[in-house]
Amino acid sequence: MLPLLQSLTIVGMIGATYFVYQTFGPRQLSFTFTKREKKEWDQLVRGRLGSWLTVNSIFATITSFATVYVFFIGNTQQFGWWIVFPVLTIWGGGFITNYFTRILVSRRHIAKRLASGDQSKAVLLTLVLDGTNASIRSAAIVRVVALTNILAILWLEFSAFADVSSKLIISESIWWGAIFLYGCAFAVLYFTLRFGLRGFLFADLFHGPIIVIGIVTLLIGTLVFLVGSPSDGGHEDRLVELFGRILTEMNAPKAPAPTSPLLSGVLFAISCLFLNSFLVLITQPHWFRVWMFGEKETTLQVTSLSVTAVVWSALILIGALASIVLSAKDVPAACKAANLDSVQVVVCYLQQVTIAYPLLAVAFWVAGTGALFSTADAQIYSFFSIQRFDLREGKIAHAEFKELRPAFYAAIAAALFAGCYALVRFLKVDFDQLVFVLLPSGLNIVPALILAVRGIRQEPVLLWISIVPYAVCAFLGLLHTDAAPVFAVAAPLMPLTVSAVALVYRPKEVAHAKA
Amino acid sequence: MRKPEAVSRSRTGPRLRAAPHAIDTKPKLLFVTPIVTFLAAGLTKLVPLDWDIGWKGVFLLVGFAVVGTCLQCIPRRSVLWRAEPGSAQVALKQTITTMRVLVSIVMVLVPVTILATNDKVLSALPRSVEEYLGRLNAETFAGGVVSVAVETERKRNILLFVPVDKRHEEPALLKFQPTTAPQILVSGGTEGAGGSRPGIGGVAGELYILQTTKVVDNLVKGAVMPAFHQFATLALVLSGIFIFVIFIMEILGDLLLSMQPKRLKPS
Repeated sequence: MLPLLQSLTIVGMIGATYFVYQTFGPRQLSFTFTKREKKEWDQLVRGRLGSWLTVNSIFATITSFATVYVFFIGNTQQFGWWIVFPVLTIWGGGFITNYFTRILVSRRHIAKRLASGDQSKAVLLTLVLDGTNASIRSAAIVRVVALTNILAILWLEFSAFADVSSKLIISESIWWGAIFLYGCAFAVLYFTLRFGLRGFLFADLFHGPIIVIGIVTLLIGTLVFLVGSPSDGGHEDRLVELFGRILTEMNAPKAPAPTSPLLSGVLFAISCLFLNSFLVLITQPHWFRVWMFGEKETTLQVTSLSVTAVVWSALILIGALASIVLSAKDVPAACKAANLDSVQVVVCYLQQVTIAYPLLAVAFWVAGTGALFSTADAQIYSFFSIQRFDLREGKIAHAEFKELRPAFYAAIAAALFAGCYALVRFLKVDFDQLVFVLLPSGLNIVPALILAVRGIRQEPVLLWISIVPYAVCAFLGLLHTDAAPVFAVAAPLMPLTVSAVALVYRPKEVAHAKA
Repeated sequence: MRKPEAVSRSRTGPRLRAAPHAIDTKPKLLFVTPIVTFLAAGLTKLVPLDWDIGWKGVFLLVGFAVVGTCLQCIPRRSVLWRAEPGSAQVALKQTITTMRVLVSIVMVLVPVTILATNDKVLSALPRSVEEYLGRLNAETFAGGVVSVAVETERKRNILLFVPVDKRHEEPALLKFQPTTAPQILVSGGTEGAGGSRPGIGGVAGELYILQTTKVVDNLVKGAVMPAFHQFATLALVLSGIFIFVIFIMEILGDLLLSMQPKRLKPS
């Protein structure tokens, strides 16, 4: 019964997303917008609709399934109060994003490009390009980093989705997980490539509110479940007791041995500080929004991230309640183990609450599918824009839809993702460590952006100095050693250190000119 | 050669003239469904009609009434679009219309089913099953058969189901429940009502006689109805989601078209 309910919810959400994509009409000749379309678009987004689109797009794009939804619910009991850091840093990151964006946009050559109405000029790589060979080399490196990061995020999304859904609906076997991953990745990739490549912003208008509604329902449902569960006191006492238990859970994080909760928390906070400060800035959807919405992107950035912070806080609360649910006496011993990863915690939590309230699974999947789609469609669009960008010409080449072949690309990509998933599960790599290592890989772009902000010549060497140590730390962070969490957190430190160097770096010819 | 009226219909002029009195973007008549649903929810509790659908049923009806009202409140802007045949607007317009019709069907079907699953109907179901079993010819049913011969003096060892309402016979289901420890029955002994003899097929246990009406009643109230309520709630949730999609399609589609002056005048 419950598997059928969950399957119907997921299929229903995919169907609803398909209809939202249909709003934008049939496929055009190209996935980029023409100058005429951009002019019409500017008229359209001038009013309140533009503000809604901006807020929803920022919120829905960064509220992903794997790195936010499952991560917060599954990791609150591990990090305790430290889990609040991502919320604070993502909000603070809004100011950093605005600061850097405004400087970059004020640069004459970038402002001219963005005002041209040519969508190619909104590709992240153009920020690095200044006409020199060094900038082309830097842009080539930035492209590899950006594409790797996009693929990593997509893979994390589909893996987490397949992991949770297969464990809840059928079985815990690797093969079922891989089959589920293939199914969901193919569906999302195909639908997005076939119908929604140009309409991902409109889809966010649907997914944003759906995510919020799903999360609020899940929070209220879990509260009702806990209040209604057997207790000595009355309902009023139960609420007070519940509040006390939330505080107890948050005060006593359960970091897996041998890491101490304090060390684990401090490392996590450092990682969040670096990542979330630049998370929006380094993503391609941000620069598309700058091109599409103009000033709205910066003026509404903090508002959007405030909304995001509130919703993420609700997820943290669900995570705290989940740890209370799992501490009950009748919970199976397998769900009480100390070394559960976030996916296992989410699965155990849902198995418990859906015994009494099966419809909480519906709320979970409504928000979860929304989170998956909203992140995936934006990343897929970004992938094709960056991958097809001609560095010499400075524009997106081969943007025609006829060259996309949705079914072919979706089938190949889904098969590769499923293969990687099977390998990772076979090697028993910790899922949370993967999030820590893969998500910040985009930070390696920051040194190039700093040089662009300063308006000085690009240095590809700086990017290599960032990427190589990052890769080494990331690899060591994935091994089954005691020091792995330290390396996983040290990885994002590398690009940040190089970025700090880029802030004070002086190219040789400048020194020569001064002399 | 085309008929003259066909030619005049294909022109734009007459269509535009006919538009102002023909198009209603908010037809009041369609509010009938949510209003009736809401009234039905209230009446089942307020009027002593012995039509109890339980609180879950009432909540679901209210939910459908609210969601149905939301659907009818969405302005039907798509009817004003003057779409060219084969254009994207036509496809979108058709999609919106189809979705509206499908959601409206769900808005009627599920509440009607909820109303149909009231206590009166549910309590009649076990009796109907019992009657059916009573009429059933066991010999032609192609099920299993066990020959039983009970001697008069041993009747005290057999568990018999005695109907409360003084009827002479009542269909019952037999359930064999194996016991962990094999029971030893001495011929003519009193251990275990309906107990089977060890050694026969290698199992021992109890043979229970289950009253059919009670089995069906338990099945309906304990398993079928909760499942039905879950699926009805899922239908409600998905309907809500699709109504939100219709809202986006109507508003956004209209905004996208607003840049092109190709709309008919509303009434």
